[in-house]
Amino acid sequence: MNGKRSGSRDGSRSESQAKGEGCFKAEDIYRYLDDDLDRGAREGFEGHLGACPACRRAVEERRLIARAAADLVPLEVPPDFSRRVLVRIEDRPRVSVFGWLALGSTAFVSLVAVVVGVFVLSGKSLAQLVAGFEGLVVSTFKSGALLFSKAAAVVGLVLNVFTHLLNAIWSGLSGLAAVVPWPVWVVSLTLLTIIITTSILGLRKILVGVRS
Amino acid sequence: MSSMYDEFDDAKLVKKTLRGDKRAFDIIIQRHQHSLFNYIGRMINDRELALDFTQDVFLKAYASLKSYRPLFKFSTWLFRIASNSVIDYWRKKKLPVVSIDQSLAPDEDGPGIQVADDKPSVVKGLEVSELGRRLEKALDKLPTQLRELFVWRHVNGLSYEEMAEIKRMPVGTVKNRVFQAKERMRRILEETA
Repeated sequence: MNGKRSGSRDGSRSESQAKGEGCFKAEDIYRYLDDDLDRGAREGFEGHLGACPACRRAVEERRLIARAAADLVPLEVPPDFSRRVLVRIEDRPRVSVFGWLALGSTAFVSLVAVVVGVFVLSGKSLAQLVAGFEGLVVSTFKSGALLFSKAAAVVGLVLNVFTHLLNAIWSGLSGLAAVVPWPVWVVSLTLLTIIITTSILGLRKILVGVRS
Repeated sequence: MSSMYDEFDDAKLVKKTLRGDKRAFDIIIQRHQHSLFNYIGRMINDRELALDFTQDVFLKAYASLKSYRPLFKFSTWLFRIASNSVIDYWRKKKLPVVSIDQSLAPDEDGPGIQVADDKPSVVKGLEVSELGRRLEKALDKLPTQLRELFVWRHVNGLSYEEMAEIKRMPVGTVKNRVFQAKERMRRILEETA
């Protein structure tokens, strides 16, 4: 479709060129060689070629270069190429379920080792160390529980506000329904749906279509 | 050796590979290795390195096979991976990389130039094979981003639409750059004649 549109544009240009207003541009020649000109443009082009040896030579030169490029000696892939790729795929390090377990265990042991190391370096006894570790776990758990309870309270508050808001909207709409006749409701709801749909999907996509 | 896999299209082979069927990926490699290697080989100009690169492209494709959408041609998806790898390589080698959607400086290679002149033809008296040898050498002199398009068009035989899909650019822009690549190639041949 695109080619056809631009082909028409070139059609008028090539016609003028065929009347002797100037020779072709490289783009015209490449589009001619690509068979990307419409019938009128092509006829105009060939008409000019019949009368202009310089343009004929320019076309022939570019045609030969394209042919030579297409005939370049192909680079050969070794016969075992795909096998070599598959071997590399097989050799890639993969982490299995046991690998993940080992990784997790190592991380946990490292964490314990760091905690123990910190206490040992601080010069405390084993009893103090155990008590300290216990205290650390308990305080962490307490802090976590406190954070969780506060988060739950905030969620409860938000839900409460949302419920009140819905109630207020419902009361307002009920009041309006008693006053406004039903056809106005239907029109308003349709308009609202259209506005929301176009906002979400994008007006441009609906009117112009998605560019491929 | 022919098998029923040879009759499957790329999308089906991808599905089979994702289910763990290595034979399916073997067919994918065999189907695309030639075109990819001929592209990468012409871009890098070092056979062994190009072979490694081509292998890497298939490894990357295998690793990200889940992200392939059959809406697009598998070959263009592979070429996009290859093109990104080649661009990374050029950047590491500090070769100038200009995105092809950037407007290049207007010069005598632009597709809008008048072409008829009185200079002797650059191909006059040359056999196609001799011209091919000169062209192979001239490829090295073509700026990287234009060389890529030239190779895709003439060596790989890709359509403008396929190139536009690989580069995620409008078809018109790609066409314009391909014309520019061809004109630059012609001028290089002229200079080295």
